[in-house]
Amino acid sequence: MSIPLVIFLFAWFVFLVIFTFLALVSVVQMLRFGVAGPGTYLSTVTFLAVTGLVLGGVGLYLAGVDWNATLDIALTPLL
Amino acid sequence: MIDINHLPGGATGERTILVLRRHWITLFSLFVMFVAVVLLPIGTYIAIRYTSPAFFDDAARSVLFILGASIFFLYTWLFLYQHFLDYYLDTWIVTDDRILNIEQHGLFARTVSELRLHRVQDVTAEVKGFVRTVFDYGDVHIQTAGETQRFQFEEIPHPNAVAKMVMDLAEKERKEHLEEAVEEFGMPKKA
Repeated sequence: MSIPLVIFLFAWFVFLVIFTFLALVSVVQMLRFGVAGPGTYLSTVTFLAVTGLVLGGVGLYLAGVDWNATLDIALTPLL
Repeated sequence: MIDINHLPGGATGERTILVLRRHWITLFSLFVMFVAVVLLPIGTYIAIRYTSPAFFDDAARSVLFILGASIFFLYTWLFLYQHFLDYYLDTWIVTDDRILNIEQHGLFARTVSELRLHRVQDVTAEVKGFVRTVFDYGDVHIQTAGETQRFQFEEIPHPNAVAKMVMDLAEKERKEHLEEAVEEFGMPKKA
């Protein structure tokens, strides 16, 4: 049985949308209720920077993927 | 954001003396857990590479692994941030007039309590256990005359010094209130 890779990309996008929503809510709560100072800004910038780095790196990798390829379940060996 | 120099509901000229949070050591176990969880995808990759070297020769499997590992890492990172947020937004602010107890419960629940310093009756510092003694952090219990019988600072650094400071500030505030009352109403007549 073959599953198109693009299906997994859509599933990944769904998870990413949920993540984005939760991350946005968290950042807004921090900026709204945090004490004004370097701790609040630094933690928020660090969170967003690492998230951006990971998404950027994954995005670069995924840009070079052939999404017309398929994953053959029957031929996938278990460890 | 909370501006330390202009706290909501504060009197003119109110001065912030202390801004307290839990000791950083309380985050340590969470940090260790985060590192262990983040290493899981890397460990899994190494294990697969070692046991089935040809596994990632199929480009589709590599893509699947990258998609899964990236989402796993992002959610773990978000989990860590939300726990840090829960720690960071729990704040105790001591001014020369009052004590503010701000507690964050999860993302959408927040409790703010306020206590006037002249209502403080008793302050107790508590440091229990080996780790707390070594890193000098513990709890400060504040007994009041108000509805909230006990205000509590949890796992704060240098609790003995904080307790003394709060007691001194409370004593000073009570004296000022007494002077104001005498000025307005005069000295009470002896029976």
